[in-house]
Amino acid sequence: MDTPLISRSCHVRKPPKPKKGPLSRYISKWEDLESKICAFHVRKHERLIEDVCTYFKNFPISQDICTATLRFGSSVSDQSGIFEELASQLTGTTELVCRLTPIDCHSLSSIVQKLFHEFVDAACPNDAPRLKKSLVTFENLVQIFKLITKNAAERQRSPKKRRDAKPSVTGTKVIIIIEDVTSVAPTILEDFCLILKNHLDTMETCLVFGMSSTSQSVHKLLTFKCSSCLSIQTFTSPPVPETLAEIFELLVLNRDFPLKLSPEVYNWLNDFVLFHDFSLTTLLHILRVALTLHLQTVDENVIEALFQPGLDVEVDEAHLAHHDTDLHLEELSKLFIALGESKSVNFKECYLALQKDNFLESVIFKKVEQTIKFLSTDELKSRLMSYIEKTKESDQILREDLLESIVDLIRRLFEEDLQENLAENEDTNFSDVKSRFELKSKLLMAAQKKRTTRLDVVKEDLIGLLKSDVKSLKTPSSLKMYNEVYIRNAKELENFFNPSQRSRVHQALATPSVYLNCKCCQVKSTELKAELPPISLAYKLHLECGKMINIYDWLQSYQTVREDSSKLSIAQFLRAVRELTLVGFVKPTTRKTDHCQRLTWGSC
Amino acid sequence: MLLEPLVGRQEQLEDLETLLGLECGIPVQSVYVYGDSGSGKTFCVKHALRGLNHVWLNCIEILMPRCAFSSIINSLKVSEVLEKLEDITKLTSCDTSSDFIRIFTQTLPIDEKLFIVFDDAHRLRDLDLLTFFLRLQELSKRQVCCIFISTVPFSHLVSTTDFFWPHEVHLPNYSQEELCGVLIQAKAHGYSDEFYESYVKLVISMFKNVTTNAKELVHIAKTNFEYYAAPCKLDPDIQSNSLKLWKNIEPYLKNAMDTVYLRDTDARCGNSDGSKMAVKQIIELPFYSKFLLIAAYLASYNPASTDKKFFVKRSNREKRKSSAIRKQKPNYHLLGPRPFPLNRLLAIFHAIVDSPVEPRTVLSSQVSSLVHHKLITQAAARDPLSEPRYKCCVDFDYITAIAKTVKFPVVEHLEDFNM
Repeated sequence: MDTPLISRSCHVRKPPKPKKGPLSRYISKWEDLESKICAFHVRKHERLIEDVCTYFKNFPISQDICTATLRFGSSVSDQSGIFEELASQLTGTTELVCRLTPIDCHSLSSIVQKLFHEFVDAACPNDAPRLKKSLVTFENLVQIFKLITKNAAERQRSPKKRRDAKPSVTGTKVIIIIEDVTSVAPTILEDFCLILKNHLDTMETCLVFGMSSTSQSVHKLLTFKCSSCLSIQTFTSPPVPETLAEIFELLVLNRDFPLKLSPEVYNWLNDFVLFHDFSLTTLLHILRVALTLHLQTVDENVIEALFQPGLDVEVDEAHLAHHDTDLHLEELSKLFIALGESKSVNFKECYLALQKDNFLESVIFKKVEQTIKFLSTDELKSRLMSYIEKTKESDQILREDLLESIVDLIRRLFEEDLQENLAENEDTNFSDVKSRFELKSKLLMAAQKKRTTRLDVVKEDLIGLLKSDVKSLKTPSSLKMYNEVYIRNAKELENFFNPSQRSRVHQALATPSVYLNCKCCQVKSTELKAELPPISLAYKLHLECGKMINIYDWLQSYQTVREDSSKLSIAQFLRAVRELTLVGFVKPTTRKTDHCQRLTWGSC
Repeated sequence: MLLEPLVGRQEQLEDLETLLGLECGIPVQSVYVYGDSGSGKTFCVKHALRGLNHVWLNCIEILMPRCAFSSIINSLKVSEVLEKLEDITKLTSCDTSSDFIRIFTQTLPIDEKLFIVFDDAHRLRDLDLLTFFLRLQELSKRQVCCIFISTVPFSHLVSTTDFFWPHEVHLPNYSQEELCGVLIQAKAHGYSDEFYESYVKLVISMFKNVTTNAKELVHIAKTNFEYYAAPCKLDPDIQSNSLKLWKNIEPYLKNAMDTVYLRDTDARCGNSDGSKMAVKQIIELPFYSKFLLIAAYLASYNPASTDKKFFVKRSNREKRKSSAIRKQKPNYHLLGPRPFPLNRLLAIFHAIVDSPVEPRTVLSSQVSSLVHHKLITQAAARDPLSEPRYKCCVDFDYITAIAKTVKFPVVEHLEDFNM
């Protein structure tokens, strides 16, 4: 019997899968949403993947290694879905596609090992023999490659099996995808490329580099010797803000998910992503946390009823009402987009603004109103028509009354003599003018008076229609179950994902009474008082110092405030200094004796 | 390729053939061939060994000594292509040098010659294999000769004097005439020799200061020849008009000058349209990261003493400096980026962003993500707690392009443009 090792007693237990309870339903709903977003993200990159495939197909046989660099705007860790798709697309052109993650690339031997296993799997897919580790070399790798090509050639030659097989591809290629080039050590990358180059005659290799930096950075990594054997073509992913905006649209219009994001959360998320972090992984993580936080605050029964329609009549009704409002919102925002200038109004903003109470006073509405007033007949006609067409194209017509009234408006635009002045009937005879002053004022009035045409009336009617429709719209906050259905924890999310730790620490140390809840140390943030806790007092004193702080001077001022020069106060002071060092405000320095260095300035 | 005659290397080839005992007799123990990259070392050795029994090893692949041993033995034993995957398990593996000698003597008949070539031989030094292979003939008592190819002289590889010294063959850089001869060998069909020769001379005269690597020059000559010959297709008389031909090819060669040693297909497509390239190379960054990068650039190319002038709201009391002082100032862009502390970076950042930004954790993490993207570098790898210092790595064109996207007037904030 072996003696048990300590490491053996360490177990990793997989949590049991939740049985068919409410939890599993939440999870499946969430997974649906997540996979939807990821799938969309991959779909956005279809062009890119196709381009890479054609590049590899058309690349002539040459002395250089054919390399495609995929440049992603956001971090590479988001892109695993895209690499997966790319790998599966590339397997159409060749059998051997290997993906190397950063973990595989920490040394040359680990790269070879990974490739070796992939090759062996490709050579005999059914029963790969166990191979000794000493056999894992580049030389043997090439041998296996030769074997694979030979097998492939034989398979194509045997006409019985594959009569209808397509004419053979010119030769088997190996495509190696290195997912994050910048994380691979330059020496390893260079050696790897040189080795591949040496075997290029026997083993045709293509490389795919994924990275989130410029292609220049690859050149910076490699020496001339290596860069001269890579024929690099760069492929750029679609702009990140665009992709993200579309992902947000997907989130807003997602009807399958019973919970919705409130405009505040939504705007915060949008700002966070655009200002700080483009990463999709972070975005998904934030959504997950937002959802978890929300689920904690809401009554369990309501949530369960929301996720499983048919349990509670009241909840179902509320849910239906919310659903109707959503449709109404969507329809209205589509109409507004169709009418407004495409640059100034976008769907997402419009949709979010409509959720608020005072949309009629908002900038968007005013813009649209102004645009309508300036539009010519033809332009107005075409915009309305395009809206109608789009609505009819979509599967269901959501709001027939709105549609009908718009159709009616269009009919009026076609029928009437639009330029006819309606204000004509008001007589403008200047016969009874008695004085020069009167004439002047009348002329002025006539000039100021707008020429009201029938077109203007139609426009007025359109605006009136929009206004009444917006007014008839029930804002989500006025509906039942608003707090349950809408996720509204923007503040909490901010604290989690974008915390301002420095200001919190400063607040805690400057006004400790907030945290300690005691009356004795209630001071303003700039005041000093003997009753303050030692660390707080030391902190406040150090704020007045320069870059170098003399410990003795510091102690002296500490003791003066304390009015205490006992040994206990020295001990307390030293402990406070140590605590400040731990928090990172000061650090001991060797540049000057008996001094410590201050590390923070203002907000830096 | 091997049948092509060697240009300018006849002398060295003769030396090599004598040392290897190709005409008669036994080869020497070891030969060390060295010269700059692209001076034809590999080509020479391949030329000398054509048709002979030899093993070619690339030392980059030799991760451990046993890789070298196994591959030599296996290349003696195994035929070209494996029959089945299981065959691979039958390959011999030797772990130690004594194992190797034992199996080697068994496999190699006593009257057979064998040449073992080590490409990139300087890598063997780290594996402690150099001494062993230098004396392989002596140790195995077989007609075996080791040929080492490297870019560094042998004296750089050894530290002690009691080393077995191999016969050295040095390949000097090609002279201009020799280069011309090499390049002419890669002549395209359908054109006269004189026409191609004048083209090659043009290329060499332009690139001689940049590179003498024959392989690189062959590549440049090959890729640009179609542009050179393009006008001849329209007008055959132009072949004799060298000035017109030069005018035509000049922009292409200048472009090639920037991409020597790079096989960037984008760069080749870009041609003279420089602005388009710049857009392609710019990374998309989050809004605040862009401002951080701009701040880093300003901190790198402005002396700290001018920060007050640019980033503090102007007061009326500000004095104008006399022109005498202004003249003495250097051009900071010529001096290159200078390191700056993190505090200064953040201070400038807060000054140039329009809306007040709270100092949050995510903001400081963006600095490190800029470092990851290699847009700024950490100048001194010191304790991260005490004032880390950074340098900005992007150039002026890049930063103006970035600044344009956030509508920040970067030129107005640079000392060099506001003397």
